[in-house]
Amino acid sequence: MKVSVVKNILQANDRIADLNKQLFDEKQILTINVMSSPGAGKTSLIERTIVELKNDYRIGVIEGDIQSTQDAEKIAATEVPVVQINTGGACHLDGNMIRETLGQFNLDEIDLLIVENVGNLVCPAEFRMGEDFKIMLLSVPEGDDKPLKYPLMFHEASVLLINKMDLLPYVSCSPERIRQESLKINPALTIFEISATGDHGLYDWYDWLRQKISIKKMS
Amino acid sequence: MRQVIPEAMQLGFECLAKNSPLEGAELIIEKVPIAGYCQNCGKKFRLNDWSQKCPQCSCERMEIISGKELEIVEFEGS
Repeated sequence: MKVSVVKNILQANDRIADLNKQLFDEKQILTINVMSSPGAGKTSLIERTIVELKNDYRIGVIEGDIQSTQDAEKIAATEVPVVQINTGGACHLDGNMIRETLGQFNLDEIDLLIVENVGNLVCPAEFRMGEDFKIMLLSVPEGDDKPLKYPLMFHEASVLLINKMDLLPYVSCSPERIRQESLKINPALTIFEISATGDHGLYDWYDWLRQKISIKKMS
Repeated sequence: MRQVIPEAMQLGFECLAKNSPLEGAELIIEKVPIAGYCQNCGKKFRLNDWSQKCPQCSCERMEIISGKELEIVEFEGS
């Protein structure tokens, strides 16, 4: 006996991600999913972004890690609401993990929700969580061959932040090559070169975010 | 375009099936080629890699129409 099914394996996740998205749209919360390999600078970027924007917008943060609350503690020091998810082994966040944290925020008082995914260039690209934009960081010490090696991440992202530009003189990496290879995979990708510990390029990133928050507010 | 490794999926399936009613069942994985549709000239074409440029008009306004499938299509048993 043959039974036809045609069921998307990721459907269960997509359904929850859609519910999250509906809720974020209703509350006019701009949600970004920040992804990169471990150590590329996600937490530093988020800290800087909060400090820059927190006087103008109400921000919430979800921190995803396999283990530890270190990142959430750093974010808590910036005095914005933060929830830590410890996946206990899973290498990415999914729609349901986000759903379960939402009760810990007052969603009527958030304009920008920043989700820091688990450091990994592979699996986070597969799982939607209801975000408006996927933001990817690639730091120059990681090398300029990453778009070719991990194409899905570059394909799914809306913004690529090339981080640690201040280290460029010390490493063998061509940001131009990163740019070219990424745009081949994803011609619509917006790319900023930044240094999350300096000031390099950060203002362009802040402007992008401000613009997207106001668009969401008007929706 | 999915980051699923067929060999690993096969092994996982075999391990899970062992000592279950599915023991001995066969998992058949069908790979779907990546196909694109050019929004400019309307051409449909197959992509060999991730670069997304229309082979006919060289524009970049193209949409992936297949290759992202991760689906259970059917099962057969008695």
